[in-house]
Amino acid sequence: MRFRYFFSETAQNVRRNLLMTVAAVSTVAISLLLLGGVQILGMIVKNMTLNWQAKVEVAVYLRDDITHGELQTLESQVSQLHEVDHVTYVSKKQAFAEFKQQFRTQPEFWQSLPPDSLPASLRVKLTDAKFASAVAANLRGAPGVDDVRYGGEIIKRLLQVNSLLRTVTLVMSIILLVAAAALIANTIRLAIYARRDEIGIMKLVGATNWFIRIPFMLEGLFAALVGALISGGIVLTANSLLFTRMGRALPFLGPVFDFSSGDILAVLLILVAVGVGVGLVGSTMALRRFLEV
Amino acid sequence: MIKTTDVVKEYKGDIRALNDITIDIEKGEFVFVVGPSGSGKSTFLKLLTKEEEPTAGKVYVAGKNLASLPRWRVPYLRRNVGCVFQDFKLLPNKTVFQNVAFALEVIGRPHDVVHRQVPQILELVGLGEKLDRFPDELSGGEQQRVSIARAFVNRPLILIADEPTGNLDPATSVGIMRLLDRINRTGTTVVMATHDHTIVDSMRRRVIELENGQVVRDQSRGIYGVGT
Repeated sequence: MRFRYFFSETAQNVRRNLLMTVAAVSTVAISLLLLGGVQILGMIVKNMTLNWQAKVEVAVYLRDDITHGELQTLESQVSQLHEVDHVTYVSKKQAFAEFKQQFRTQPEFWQSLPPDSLPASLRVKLTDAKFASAVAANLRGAPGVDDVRYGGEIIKRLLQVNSLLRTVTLVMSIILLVAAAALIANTIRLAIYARRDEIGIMKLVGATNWFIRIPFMLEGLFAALVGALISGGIVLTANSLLFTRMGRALPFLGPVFDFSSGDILAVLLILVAVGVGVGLVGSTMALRRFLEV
Repeated sequence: MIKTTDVVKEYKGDIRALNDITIDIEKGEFVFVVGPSGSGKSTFLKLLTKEEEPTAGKVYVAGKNLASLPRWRVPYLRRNVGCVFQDFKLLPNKTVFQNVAFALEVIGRPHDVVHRQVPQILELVGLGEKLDRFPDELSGGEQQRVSIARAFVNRPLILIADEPTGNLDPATSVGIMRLLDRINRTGTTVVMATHDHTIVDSMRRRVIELENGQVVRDQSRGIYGVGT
């Protein structure tokens, strides 16, 4: 009987100020969508970083005048480093063959090049990408070594751009979430105002404050939850329609748009949890001052 | 049942609404609180439901010191104190039945209790035939009966009536007084503020007269005013 009472009161309130409810719901949805965007961006960057890290190797370009002895010393020296997984020697000929293979559709790149124009190198595969700069520094300047390159710079840049993007989006979504809470509070205040006579009588006959509050809190929660579900739905749709297609259309990026269902579920849970939190904050804001005995 | 000792109530700006009120009302009494407008009648009644709190002095209702009653217990106090007002305070969009049922529903009474007690009490106040009417389809006297039914449906220990006949013609007022008298006979303590001479004089009950916030007369089986 009590649940029926709360439910019908809440439904009535929602119907009475439909416009305010719609405004509150859509603000919650939009702000949560931004928040979801932040999460997904984070996941994309995580995938990208993993992807790059797996590919990271240190390329040790050798001078053309390196002696056989120097090469052997260098190779054994490098393979003994405990950060190093394995070392592959790539001769000038192999390097040129790889280059040809890489640009096989654009023969103008390599047709005019003499086959020995690319340097021989040692490809050093690391046990972990984070050792790249240390290993590179270690090998730079060793006898017979011309230059050392690794993908670390790109990863660093990527992480910087990512953290900037995340901060901006996070700030925006926080501002929007505050606005959403304020809109919910306003919606509830209107509902309270519309029912002030009833509330007066409820207090008069001894209804407890919680009994009076619950329908209004449910209204705030309802608005927030609907907003959360809408944003969650959009995230799910985007995942199944947009991201998988983008992954297929841009294969050279690697599996950056492949999200595990656990990851997606986590994003949805965060959206719903934050939405419920916003609803509660908004309701509490509206209910704090009313009900003074 | 109701006891106040040396109660002082001051509003903002040093307005003294009540001054040294010491009153003792027994269980089952019927008490008129009389006096001109602004004499402190309404303020006194509001102390009994903790709508107002005294600046000094103590108020006991049903054996409880209201000053030490925590905020969250106030609703439970009010379940023991029914209130009736001059302006009825009915909800216009609810029927007679729903208005009375509302008072039980919002204190969490189960559905079957509501459906048993509401028709009973409306029968008692003489509105057994008008359960489905809306307040604006009723006369003033009938509306006041609904509000009395709402105040009494929960069988409170105390019924407080603030000028319940203030908006009613004399003949209708007599009917309301009969009803309050009947409720009083069930053992309910009734405290009624009024400035209706005829009613007070015909009922011959205890009269507490207030003037400028002070008790100037407390007389059992009294009349409205000496010399009127």
